[in-house]
Amino acid sequence: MSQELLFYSFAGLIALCSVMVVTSRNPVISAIFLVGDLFLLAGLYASMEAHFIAAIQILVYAGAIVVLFMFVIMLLNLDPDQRSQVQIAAPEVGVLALTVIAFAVVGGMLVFGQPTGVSGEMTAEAINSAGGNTFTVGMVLYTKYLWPFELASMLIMLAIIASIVIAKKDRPKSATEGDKRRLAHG
Amino acid sequence: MLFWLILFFPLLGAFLNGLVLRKVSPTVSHILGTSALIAAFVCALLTYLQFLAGGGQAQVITGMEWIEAGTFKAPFNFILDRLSGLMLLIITGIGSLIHIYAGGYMHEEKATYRFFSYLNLFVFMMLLLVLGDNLLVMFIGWEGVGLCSYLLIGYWYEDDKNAAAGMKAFLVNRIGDIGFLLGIFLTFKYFHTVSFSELKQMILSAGAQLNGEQIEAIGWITLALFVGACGKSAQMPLYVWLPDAMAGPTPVSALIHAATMVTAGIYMMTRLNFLFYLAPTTQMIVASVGAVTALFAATIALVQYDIKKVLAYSTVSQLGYMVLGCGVGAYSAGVFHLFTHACFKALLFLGAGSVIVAMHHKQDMREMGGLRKYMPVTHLVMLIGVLAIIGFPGLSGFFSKDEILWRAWTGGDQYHIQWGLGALAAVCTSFYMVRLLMLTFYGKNRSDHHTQEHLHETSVVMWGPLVVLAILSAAVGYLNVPHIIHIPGLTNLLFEHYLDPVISIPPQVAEHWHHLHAEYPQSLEWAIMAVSVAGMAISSLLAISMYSNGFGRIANSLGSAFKGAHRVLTNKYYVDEFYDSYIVTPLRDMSQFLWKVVDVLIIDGIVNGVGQAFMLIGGLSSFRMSGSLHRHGMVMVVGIICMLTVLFF
Amino acid sequence: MVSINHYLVLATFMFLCGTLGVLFRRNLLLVLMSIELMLNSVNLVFVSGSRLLGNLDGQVMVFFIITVAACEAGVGLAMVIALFRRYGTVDTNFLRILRG
Repeated sequence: MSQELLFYSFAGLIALCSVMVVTSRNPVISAIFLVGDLFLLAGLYASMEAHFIAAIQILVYAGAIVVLFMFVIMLLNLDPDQRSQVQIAAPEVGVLALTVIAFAVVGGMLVFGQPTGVSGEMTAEAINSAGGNTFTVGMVLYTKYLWPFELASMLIMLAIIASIVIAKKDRPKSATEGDKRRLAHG
Repeated sequence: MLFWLILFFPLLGAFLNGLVLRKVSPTVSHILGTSALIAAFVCALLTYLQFLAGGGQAQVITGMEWIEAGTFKAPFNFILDRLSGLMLLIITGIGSLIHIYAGGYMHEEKATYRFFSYLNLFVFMMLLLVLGDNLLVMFIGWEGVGLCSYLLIGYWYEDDKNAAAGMKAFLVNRIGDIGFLLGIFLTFKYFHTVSFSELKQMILSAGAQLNGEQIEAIGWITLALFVGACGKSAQMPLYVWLPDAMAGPTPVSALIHAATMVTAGIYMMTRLNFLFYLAPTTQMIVASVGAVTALFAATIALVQYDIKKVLAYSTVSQLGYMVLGCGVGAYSAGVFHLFTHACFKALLFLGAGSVIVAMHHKQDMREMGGLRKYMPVTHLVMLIGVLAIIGFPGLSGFFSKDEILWRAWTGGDQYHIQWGLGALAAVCTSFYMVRLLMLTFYGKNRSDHHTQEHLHETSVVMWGPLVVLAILSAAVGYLNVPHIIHIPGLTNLLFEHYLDPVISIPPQVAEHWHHLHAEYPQSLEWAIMAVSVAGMAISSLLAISMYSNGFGRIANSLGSAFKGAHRVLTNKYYVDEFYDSYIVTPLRDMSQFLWKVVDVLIIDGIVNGVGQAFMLIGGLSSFRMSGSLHRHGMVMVVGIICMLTVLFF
Repeated sequence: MVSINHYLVLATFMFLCGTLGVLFRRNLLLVLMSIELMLNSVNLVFVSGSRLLGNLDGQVMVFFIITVAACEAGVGLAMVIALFRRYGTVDTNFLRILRG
């Protein structure tokens, strides 16, 4: 019962935060709600005995990625009028309605569906007896997924190099003539 | 050590002249190039003497590893035996003389560093060709001399004609090179080695029973290699590049297109004589091609007016003799003619070069005449050269050419026709060479006043080498005196015995050859010799009477009497025109077709068409491209929703 | 124990929010944040599935997704900075260089 109470309260807060992320006018507010979202999700993971994921969710997502977002928001220091709002025009209304309906249908199906699947042996008890969630995830990660893990490290390195190259300040001029023309038309 | 220096000096000379000292005066580059070659000659001479003192046994000098793949091995090994030793001396010795001469000939040129660099490089490549112990090293040299020949023919590249002549030489040689390459491939396929010494051992060792497949392969190998020799040694039907190659400076014609490079084919066949002995069909073809080429080129030379063209066709003709010699199994006779020819043809070319310089680079014999007065030394050496080439008794050509003809006659009944062609070519040779001499040095001078004023003997730098070559042309014949003539204190057939270790008749056919040589009486040899000398004398006298004073009455009336024949000969049997219309033009048309239709229209059309089709389709629908991220995202989401809907329901 | 259906419905709702954010927000930063939201909803599905099936592969997958998300955020934000430097705006309405 307490588990369910926990879930419903967390789920309600997550839903609220998600809506706020998308709808708030100020990107800083959005980022703050995103952090809230991520912390609440970490709570949910923890409640599902996924301690390792809960930890890196907080460390990597909340600690690194969202901070990066904040930095960029501060760096750009957008004018209030540039902090655009939700924009709903005539053709978009149809898309909005269609999307919402589609997701509602999927949600409805999920509510009433019955999950099926072959259960593995890694139940909560087995994990605990084998040395805890972090230990067992680590075992899987460094044996079965060793090569994908190495590839992931390569990917991160590439991303670092790419970020540096892309964000490097190499052009003194702000925009070419062609760019300006395009902007004027846009 | 000394041996490596032979190769090193020409390469050093080429390097210094070509890459380092480009700004120096022509004199410096001349001295540098010449001294590099003289140094190489001295080393070669010392090496050769050392080699002879050591008994003259063939030795393989191991160099570095080069290609090694599986069982295939082609190291940079060099072979030093009596044949390559002789070639060493010819190349560096005559090369040195020609280098000295070139300094005088080229002294008005500006960028002579290029000339001497190419010449040195050529000598290096030629040495590589004759010294290599396997077919691949020989092939490097083979291609290298071809490259240098191309560069030197097109030395005056500002003139399109010269550049085209260089290209023609290069391309025609390519055809031969394909044959040579095929020969190498086949050799490795059937004998698993490309080394000369290993191959020789394999063929000659009595225990090695060649199977039928290998015997058959030898026929194809020799034929393929002979195609290569045809290209390099300017035989029918690939001789067409050599007359055009006269576009290069005259020393180049003397060194490359008379004395050394063009003899590469003869050298190669002699080097592999044990293979050719086992392929009677190929030998027949070789002999026939040689004899036909000898006569064919000689007839063309009869009516040419360009002094260098006459000598060029004469070279083709003489090369035909050498090939004929190889074809009838008389390799020593072929190589001996190569040797004497290198001397007297270099002499003739250089003499012609002196004449050309004196005539202010006019080469037409119709404008010459009477030069004996102005250039006594050149006249004298040219006289010796001409007498040597026409086979005047006592001079070198007499001994070497008669040896070939004699061996052709005795090579078997099937070779009598080849002998006839060769003898006829000898008659023609006497005629056109005497004609050249008469038109150039005798009679009245026909040049214009301006040229006449400046006619003079050349400097000692130029006539010095000529005198040396003249002495050689007169003397080297006595190295191989036939056994019917007895000269006190001189061994007969010295040269033939000298080459005996190189000429190795395989045991399978040995009996046949020994049998052949035994059965001819001395009187027959006298008779053959008499025929040659008589033909030479008659045609020489005819030429003297016709051309003693320019183009006499007889010459003109003969020309008009045989108008058709004369025209055909003047136009060189229309061979170039034939090649042009039946080989070059169809090839070019086909290439044009492949380029304009297949490549540009079809292949490019398909490739570009696909691209254009997409651009067209894209262009048609691009009005929907607002460039807005959100529009694109929405379309995507709606699409996904539709897809899922279809999937689920 | 809370049934998996609850988690899935929650994930669906988060995904919806993310989708709508990508589709309708004009600020590029918000678009990126919405993408993070969608990735998180997927993570939630993986973790809950992992618990349901007793299989740790799902959690490992989440680990990789977080890695990729970090890369994506880094490169994406770098591009936002580059765009802002060049055009002085991050409003997608003004960034229409892909227009046909």
